[in-house]
Amino acid sequence: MKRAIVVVSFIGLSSALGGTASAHRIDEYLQAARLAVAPDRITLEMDLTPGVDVAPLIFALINTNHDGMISEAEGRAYTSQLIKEIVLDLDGHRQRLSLVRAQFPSFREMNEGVGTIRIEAVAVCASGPGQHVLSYQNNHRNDISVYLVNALLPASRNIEITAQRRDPLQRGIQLAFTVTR
Amino acid sequence: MKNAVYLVIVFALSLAGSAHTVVSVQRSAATPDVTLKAVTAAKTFLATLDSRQQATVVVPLSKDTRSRWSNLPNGAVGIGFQRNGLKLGDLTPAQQKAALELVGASLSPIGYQKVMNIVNADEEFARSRPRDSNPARFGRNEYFIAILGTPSPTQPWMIQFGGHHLAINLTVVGKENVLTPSHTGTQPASYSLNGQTIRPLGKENDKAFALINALDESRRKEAMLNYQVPDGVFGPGHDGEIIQPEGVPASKFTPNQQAMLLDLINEWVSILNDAAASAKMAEIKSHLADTYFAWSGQTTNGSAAYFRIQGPTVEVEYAPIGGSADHIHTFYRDPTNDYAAKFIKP
Repeated sequence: MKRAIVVVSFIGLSSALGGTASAHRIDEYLQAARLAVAPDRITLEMDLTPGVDVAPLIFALINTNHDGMISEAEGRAYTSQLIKEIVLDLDGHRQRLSLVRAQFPSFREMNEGVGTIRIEAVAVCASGPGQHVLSYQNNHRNDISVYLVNALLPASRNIEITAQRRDPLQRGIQLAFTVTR
Repeated sequence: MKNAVYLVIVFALSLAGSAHTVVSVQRSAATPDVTLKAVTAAKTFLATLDSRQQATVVVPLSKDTRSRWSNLPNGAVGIGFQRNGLKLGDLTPAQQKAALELVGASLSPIGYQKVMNIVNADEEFARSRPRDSNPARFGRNEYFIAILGTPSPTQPWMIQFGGHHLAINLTVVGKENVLTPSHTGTQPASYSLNGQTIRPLGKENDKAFALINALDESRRKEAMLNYQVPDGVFGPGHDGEIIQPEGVPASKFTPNQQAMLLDLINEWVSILNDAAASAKMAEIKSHLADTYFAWSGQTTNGSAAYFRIQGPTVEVEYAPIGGSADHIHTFYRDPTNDYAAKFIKP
């Protein structure tokens, strides 16, 4: 299996992408996830935006040497922990997520409640013809977080999502989908 | 109070005829009046600016520049983020008037009023919020106007007008006027101005509650999302993403309920000038059977409820923020035609 390329870049995300945080959150850590189902992989994209009151806590969690900057190693450590706390199962089998890229905002942006951490991870797994169930569960910082999770419309015409079921807080989703060939 | 009076005066002036020299525009047989009106208003506005201002307000039309919009207030959008163009606070009264006339010329009268109601809501928010160290800046002066590309009756160009809770992204390609993606929002949801109660997104709210309550029990149950939606999903930074639709398809609605859904969608579409809005509504109507309506939250008007409308050529989202009915974000997209993708060849 070809390993996913890990690219971690440390730039002011907001400046690169415009205003991607879509709310002025105060005391919650918004974790917005999107799942893309393809015949040979599941891609997970996440936007994580700590509100003003919880930003110092999240920043401290990442910036473990307390120098006020997120180093590449610190970014990798945080995203590794995050990915470990996400459970992704395909047809009852746990899938291994590999980090593709991660971008971190500055502490100042996070401190204003508008700094968004963006990550992309992929699980390489084949979904053959037939019915499948994908389960996603986010267990990262459940104490302070609010969640969004959505399935993207599959790019492949051979895949159709037939059902979606979430828990009331959107920590998790179950997707039933069929692959026609 | 003085500010409130001033805002009303500015709004009234902006709807009146321009005192500036009207720049003539070459009429093409295929170019409708609305496009010519916008081109003329853009050129008139540009004529009020000095060369340095013109260089700032006109930016190239590109994938990068067109997607530079946000729901957030200036100063809080991130250190490096800067909206395109010039903000009203940096323009003279005459330049502001011409800028707002450009916005008014490009939208319907109802749409323009909605836009100004949102701007005035932010002015109200700026006045009423406690002083703190947050670098975010609010109020009328913090709204930006930009022209992307060169105003033309035939070639693609864009008008952007936006600030906190507002992103009007109008792409003009000859006779085609496209308003997606756009953002409207408000905080507060209701305020008083000159003795009148203003609810910038009141019709969106009321029509949605009327629709969910008009559905019979089984349809309403099908529309219900059994989970909380703490934020929007169609916002800035999500160009090109299409999520799997949820809720109840309008094919299961009665003709009256279908009409109510169209009337609700029209609250976003009708921001655009009448000719373009009529064409867009006809397109949406033609796909109505495949258009889904989803709801999260209570169904009593006044509750902080989330709803989403998703069809082949329309996506609308209404999201109360932080569980408050007094702080609303909405997004309007067309998955097939954001930024007039259908009419602009890459």
